[in-house]
Amino acid sequence: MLKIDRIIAKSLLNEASLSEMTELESWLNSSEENRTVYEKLVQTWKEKTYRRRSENADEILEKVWRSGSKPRIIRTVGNYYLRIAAIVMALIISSFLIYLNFYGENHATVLADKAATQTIKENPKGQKSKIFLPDGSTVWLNSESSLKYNEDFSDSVRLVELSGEGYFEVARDLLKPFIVKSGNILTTALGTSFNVNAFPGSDAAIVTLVSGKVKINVSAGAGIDQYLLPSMSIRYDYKDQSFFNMTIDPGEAVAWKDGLLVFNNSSYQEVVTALERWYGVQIQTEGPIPGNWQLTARFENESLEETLEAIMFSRDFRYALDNKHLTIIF
Amino acid sequence: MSQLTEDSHIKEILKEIDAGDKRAFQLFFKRYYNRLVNFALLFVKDHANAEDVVSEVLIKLLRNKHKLSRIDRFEGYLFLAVKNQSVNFIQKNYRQYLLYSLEKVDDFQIIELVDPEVKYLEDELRCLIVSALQNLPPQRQIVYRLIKEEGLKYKEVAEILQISINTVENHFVLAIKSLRNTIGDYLDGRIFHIGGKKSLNRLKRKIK
Repeated sequence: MLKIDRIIAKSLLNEASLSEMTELESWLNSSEENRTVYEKLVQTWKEKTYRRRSENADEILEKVWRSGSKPRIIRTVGNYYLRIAAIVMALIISSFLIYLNFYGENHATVLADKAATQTIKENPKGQKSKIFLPDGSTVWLNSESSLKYNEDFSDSVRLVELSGEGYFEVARDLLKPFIVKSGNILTTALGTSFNVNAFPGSDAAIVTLVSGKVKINVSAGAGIDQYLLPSMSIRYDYKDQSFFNMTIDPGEAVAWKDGLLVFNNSSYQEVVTALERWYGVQIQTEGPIPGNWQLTARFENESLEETLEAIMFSRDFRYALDNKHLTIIF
Repeated sequence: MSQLTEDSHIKEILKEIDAGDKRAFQLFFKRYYNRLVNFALLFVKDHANAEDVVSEVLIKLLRNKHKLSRIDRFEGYLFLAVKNQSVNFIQKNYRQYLLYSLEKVDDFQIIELVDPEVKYLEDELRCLIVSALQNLPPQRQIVYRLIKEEGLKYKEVAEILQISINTVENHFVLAIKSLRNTIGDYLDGRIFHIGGKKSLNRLKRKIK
């Protein structure tokens, strides 16, 4: 029966040959039903589907024209050279550091100086880094964050001090607990991966466990130990001095280390703080911030302009970017 | 309207857009925007998302406007771009998309209205045909719509969907066969045993 459908299809497209038309005709003549079905089919074919129209098409046209007409070519060329320059700089700096590192170590052995050297790694706004610790653990350090530790973890513990946010993949060593001190919060791990978010000035510290097990306590406060299970977050409110457990998507909490900027029902202020930190810019707001301004979105390795333009699709504002100063105008 | 004059006419418009003529872009936008949104809707299932997808494609287009007039068979290219952007969108918003397809697919898909000026079929049969089309495998549905609603040729559809011309033809013939069976069943009065009158009425209300 498929043969007749093939011929019907062709006839609808006006592509049937003469012999096919004859064949169709004889099929139509063979029964009254065939003919009626065919007629209805032709009617279906002729009936035009009504397209739903966008109500705000004019507005969309303006937006598309505006964001599509911005000159981009010059910027991309600049970017290209900038990137090469950045790579070259990174190579020079890292080889210098490696050199320093070797030299420094030799130096230390020669002098046999016991004084443990304290290392501080610090990221400004707009910069993230990955740090390999001497015990084999790895730390992703977010922007505007710092990590302090003793070059040799020779004590009975591996203690690091964190300000800001870091994701830790701790090398297993049952005899030497790995402790992250962030303010007065202590997170102790034996061999796990977890994220600590403790930016100075924010209301709370959040520890998220991806795998393994960690213990959390407050160094100065009442010493009740909190244990965290994988896929759980614990939030310590500095003001109330209380802990709050949350089940969250660990992928989301540590997305920043993979270059993902994630917003989840974030307020305008949260978005501004995150953008400042992520892109290393200063943001000023002009005009009244609309109430109920919330954003849920994720951006993967996008430039600041790309991110802003993506937000502009759904939110009404303008922006002006002058070097590292961004003004958002409502 | 022959494919050739269409193509050269589009090239003219594209050249004017390249020269920065906003009115040419308005013309272009009017001609394609709703068509592309409806096409994107086949993939992303939500009108607002479909609009976003198309906007993004058009912005990219404007940013590369100096290259546009070199593209042959521009319409096919445009639909392919929207399809790719839609697929990207679905991948990026996989979880949200899953929620949509579970909760809202019904609302978004059934809204298919017919131009009141060119109405041939009785409402009941139209409802049945709409639901028969919706029950086709997604790829087949897309093939059918591209051919019927966009007037594309097998070859163009094959390029957009990146499948062979034979596959396109098979999908189209099988879609016609499904429609033929639906109409046959309807004329025989057989169809009411399948869906039941209640669901048919619900469908009818939504379509109206």
